[in-house]
Amino acid sequence: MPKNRVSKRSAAKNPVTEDVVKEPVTEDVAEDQAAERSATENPVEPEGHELFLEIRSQELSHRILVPLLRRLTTRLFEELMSRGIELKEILTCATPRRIALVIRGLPDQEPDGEDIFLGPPLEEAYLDDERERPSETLLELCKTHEVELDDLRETPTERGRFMAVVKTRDGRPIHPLISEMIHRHLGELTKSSDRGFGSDRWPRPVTGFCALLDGTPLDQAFEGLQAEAWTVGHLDDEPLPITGWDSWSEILAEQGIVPSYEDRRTLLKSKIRDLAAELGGKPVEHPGLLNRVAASCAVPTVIHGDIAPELLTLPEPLWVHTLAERQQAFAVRSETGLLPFFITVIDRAGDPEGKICRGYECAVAGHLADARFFYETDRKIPLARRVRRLEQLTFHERLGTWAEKSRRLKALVEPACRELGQPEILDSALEAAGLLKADLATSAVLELPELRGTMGGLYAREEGYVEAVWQAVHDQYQPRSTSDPIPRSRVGQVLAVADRLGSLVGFFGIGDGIPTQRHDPFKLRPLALGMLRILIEADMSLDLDLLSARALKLYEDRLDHSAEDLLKQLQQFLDDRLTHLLGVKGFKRDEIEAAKAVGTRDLPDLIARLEALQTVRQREAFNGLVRAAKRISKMTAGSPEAQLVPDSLTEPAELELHEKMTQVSESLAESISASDYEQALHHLLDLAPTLDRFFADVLVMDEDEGRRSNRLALLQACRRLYWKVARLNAMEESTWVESDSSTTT
Amino acid sequence: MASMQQVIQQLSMFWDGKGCAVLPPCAFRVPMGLLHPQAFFRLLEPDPWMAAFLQPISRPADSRAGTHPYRTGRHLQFQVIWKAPEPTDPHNALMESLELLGAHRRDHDLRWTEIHTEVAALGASGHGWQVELDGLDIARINFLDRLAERAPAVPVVEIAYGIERLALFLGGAEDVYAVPWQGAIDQHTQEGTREKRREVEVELHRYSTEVANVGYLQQVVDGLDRESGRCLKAGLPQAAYELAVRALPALDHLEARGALPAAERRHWLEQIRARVCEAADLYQGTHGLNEIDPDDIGRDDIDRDDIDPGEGEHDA
Repeated sequence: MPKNRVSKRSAAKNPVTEDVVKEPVTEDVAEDQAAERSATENPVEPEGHELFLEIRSQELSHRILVPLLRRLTTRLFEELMSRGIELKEILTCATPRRIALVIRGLPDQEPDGEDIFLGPPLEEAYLDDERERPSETLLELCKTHEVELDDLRETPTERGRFMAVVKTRDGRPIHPLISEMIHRHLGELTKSSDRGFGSDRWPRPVTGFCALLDGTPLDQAFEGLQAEAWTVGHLDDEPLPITGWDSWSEILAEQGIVPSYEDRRTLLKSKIRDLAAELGGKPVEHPGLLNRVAASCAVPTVIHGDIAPELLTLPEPLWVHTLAERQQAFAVRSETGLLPFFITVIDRAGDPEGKICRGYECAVAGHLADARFFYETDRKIPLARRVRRLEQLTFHERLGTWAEKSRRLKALVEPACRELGQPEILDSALEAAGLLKADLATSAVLELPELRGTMGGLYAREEGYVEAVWQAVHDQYQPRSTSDPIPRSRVGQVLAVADRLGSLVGFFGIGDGIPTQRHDPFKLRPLALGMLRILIEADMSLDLDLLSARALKLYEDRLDHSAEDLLKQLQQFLDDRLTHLLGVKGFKRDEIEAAKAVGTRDLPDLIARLEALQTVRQREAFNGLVRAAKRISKMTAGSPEAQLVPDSLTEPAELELHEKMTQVSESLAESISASDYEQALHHLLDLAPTLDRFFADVLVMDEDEGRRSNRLALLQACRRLYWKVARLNAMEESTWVESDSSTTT
Repeated sequence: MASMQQVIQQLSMFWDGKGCAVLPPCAFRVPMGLLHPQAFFRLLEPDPWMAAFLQPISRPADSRAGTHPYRTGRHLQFQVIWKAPEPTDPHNALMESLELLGAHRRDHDLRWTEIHTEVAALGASGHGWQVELDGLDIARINFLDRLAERAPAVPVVEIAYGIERLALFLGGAEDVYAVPWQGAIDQHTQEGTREKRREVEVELHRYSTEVANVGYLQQVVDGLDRESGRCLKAGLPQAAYELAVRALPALDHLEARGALPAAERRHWLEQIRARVCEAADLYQGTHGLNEIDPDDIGRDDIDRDDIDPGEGEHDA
């Protein structure tokens, strides 16, 4: 019988200061405005006992240290909470050579508590309803815990009610409790870490261990080292006595160490900016670079080095990318262009002799020499000739080579241009399609795959291709992120869409290509979102279903799934992404539902409808229209299409409605054909009072079948009218808003 | 100014002091020291073994025709292979040896960066760290968790130093061609000789990118593979291994020549790996070593078509 221990407070929120424990994430320098919380300055001095831990080891990356630190912190936190100990403050921080953790405000003693040992669920505990015949398992529970049947308690849990043994436990004084906990959790900490020189060891040699409870070292060893009451500085191993977090922070500050990752990041951001300004420019931002340099040092110091000016002939993206990805260095740019400097971060107070700087200059020169070598090698062979190499480069083993992908792309471009009504761009589009993937065979892109597209575009421009063509090649992978712009030119937009759609169809057609909740091996979600963004933002009226069917044919018999299945799944997938994207763009769920239900496959048209709904719903009268629409859809639901006989209409209200509808119908058609959905909705709004009167005066469900059917027919006709704009019955009535505040959040 | 000779001598002395046999190198040029036949077969045995050797390395695709300050098609590595039931502390040993050479945290910006290594041709993989000295990777340490597609019976640590780079960064020469071989009395630092060293690099680059006969190289690869197969049939695992890995330099030339499509490269690496693994089976069989647990680590992640590209390439 399982003995489940239920912790009484396990659902409490984790107060661990996330700012310090956070792993570096990819975000741009400029975007970060996060409120800083310094680990070293803490004005509030909480009462109670303090536990301080520091593990020092040889250099390790944040990627390894932070999960270890988080695991330890979470386990300590969860156990303390389950013991009913309220935590006032936990702080953690990590540098490459140390992690530290402090828990403050611990009480003198753990509160008395209860241990609960669950037995069988209530309904299985007794063999009869009178609860006179206990089950075997229940008896066993009593035996195991040496209690009587009467001592058992009914205990509610998330899974229902259980019979349980509840034992009271005397709270222990905090010192022995913490000692014992630390012993247990440190022992388990490295169990699941699989890196390093032994299965249960810290990933790299531990050089020091400090564990203090109220300033006194615990009798505890870690990796063979006894807990000490001292720490060390950055470069030497001189012991520096400490009593806890505060004195530790002070000593580290004296040594120039900034223990908090967030603090380092903020500090470096401004130091890098200042140094760049001194050099006469600004640092060029590169995704994730600031995070990486902040994570990989303890004493954040910026230095700059010179780069031979003749290397300035390199294209800017190649230069910036090489510095950032190969050397964790920032490029510097002034208004007129790149400056022959780099800025990087070293992990020490300074470089008085300039020795380190010279080393970095040599390393950087080498990486840029590589870049120049690739650039010059690439330019020896024109892109058009490189296309042949694509026959040997695999796009995907099931979907063929890049050359095949390019051919399929070409075949999609023609119908796409035609459908857009822009045959004049076809020649450029076909030319660009032929070159689009050529840069995958260049050495610059083989070395720096993130520069695909960009390099192709640059080479194409140098080779004298027209703007539409080289820009299309250059922009083909845009948008690369949600903040990245879409391709500049129409040709680029068409190619980017056709390229993505071709990939989507292909991956949907093979085995495990379709994204699931957890798994998106080919990153199809961002691919689809990017494609939809292009269609919307570039105002492209393309029927994706038609184009997908076309793309599907081009794969011939390579795909597993039946065409029908595949297209249906793809359509659903794109539809879900679209709903998501529209939500992000600020449209409300009901607006999206109402507009999409019209069944338009033309995204700009859908957006026009949504924008109209968003604006017009601000009008008070709109609610009346929605109410009427809901009423109509309820009444007409399930009834077959009825034939309207206008001559049989008798009541004034129904005659008025019919007449009004006839008027509205004409002007509505006009507005719709001009895609002016706001105007169209206004026409419908005109109908609302008449509808209200109709519902007030006329009984639709008349006993006479002829009259009933005729009135239903009238309502069905009305429904057809508003369905032309949106399924208004799916809208929610909105609380009335002033019409000038037209933005929705 | 640090000379090549000093670096090599100091490293040899240091590892001699740690109990390593300082061996002659693998007699043919290889893309990495781990391919040394002696090392490969000692690693298949359960007994502790420690060795160090200077290994001439050839990676034609890395050649920049002499335009690069420290990346060359040919260079020297100092390779340490350390197989012990409880490797006491290879991290500290590597650090000590670097400090001995003058690469000390007090004077330089030293960083350790995690790397994952795959050697497709050997069916080997491991994880470890590369050491960057003022921004340039000069050494790496690897903990092998797979060799010839089996988990090593005894933990294996592999350390490699880039000799030219170490001497360059510790000595402050302008590029690797200017690094003296033998200190103050060295004649090679004179401009002419430096140019001569560069000349070799330029020539070999031209050979492997423009001149090399693709058909001939393909024949070499194919021929070595067949020969290796014949040795396996004849029950000669050590000869078979050597012939199989000797195809690697030829493949590298083909690649530098731009005549080795990725699929073909993958095919050949798989072929070499198959030969290598078969040689390992045969060797362990004849020496009664088959009780060694054949690999309980997943075999699925072995298809990356990269020979370990060595220092400078792990930072992706």
